[in-house]
Amino acid sequence: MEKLGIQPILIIAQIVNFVILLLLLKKFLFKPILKVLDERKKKAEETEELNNEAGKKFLEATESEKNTISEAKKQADKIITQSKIQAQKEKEELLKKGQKELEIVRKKLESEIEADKKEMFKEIKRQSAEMAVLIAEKVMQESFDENKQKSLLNQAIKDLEKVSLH
Amino acid sequence: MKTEVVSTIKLDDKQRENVESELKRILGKDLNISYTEDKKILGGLIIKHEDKIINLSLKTKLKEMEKYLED
Repeated sequence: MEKLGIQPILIIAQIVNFVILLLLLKKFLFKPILKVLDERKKKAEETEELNNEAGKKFLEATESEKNTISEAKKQADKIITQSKIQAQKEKEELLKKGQKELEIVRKKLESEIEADKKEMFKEIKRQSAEMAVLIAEKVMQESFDENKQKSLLNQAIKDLEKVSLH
Repeated sequence: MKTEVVSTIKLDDKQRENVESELKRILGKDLNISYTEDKKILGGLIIKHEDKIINLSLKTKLKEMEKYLED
C-alpha cells in the first residue's frame, strides 16, 4: 500500500474525521433539519385534516341547508295548496249565498208582480162593471117607455109586499 | 110622520092604494104620504120615512149588479 502512495494512518484519520463530521452534522444539522421537516409535515397533516374537517362540515351544512330549503319549499307548497282550497271553498260559499239571495229577491219580485197583476185585474173588473152599468143606465133611460116603467113600478110594489122592518 | 114615495112616473090610483096599504102594514097607521117623481131612479120605487129608506129602484138593482160583477 505504501508503494501505491496510500498512507493507512491518513485513511484512518480521514475516516475518523468523516465519522466525527457525520456525528457533528447529525447532531447539529441533520437532527434540527429533520425536526423542522417533521414539524412541517405534522403541520401539513394537521392543516389537511382541518381542511377535510371544514370540507365535511361545509358539505354537512350545505346538505342541511338543502334540507331546510327543501322542507321550507314543501311547507310553502302545502300552505299554497291549503290557501287555494280555502279560497275555492270561500268562493263556492259566496256563490251559494249569492244564489240564495238572488232566489229571495226573485221570489219577492214574483210575489210583487203577482200582487200587481191581481190589483190590475181587480181594477179592470171594477171599471168594466162600472162601464157596463153606466151603459145599461143610459140605454134604460133612453129606451124604457111608459109601459115598461109601469111594469117596473108594479114589480116594485110586489117587492114591497115582502118588506118588513122588524 | 112624513113619508115620501119616489117613482119615475106618476102612480095611478090602484098603485097608490096598494102602496099605501103596504106602507101602513110596514110603518104604522099615521102616515103623511107624499109622492114625487124622479127619473134618476130609472124605475121602481124609493120610500123614505124618517131615517128609514126602502129602496126598490132599478138604479139600486143596477148598483148591486155592479158590485156583483166586481167580485
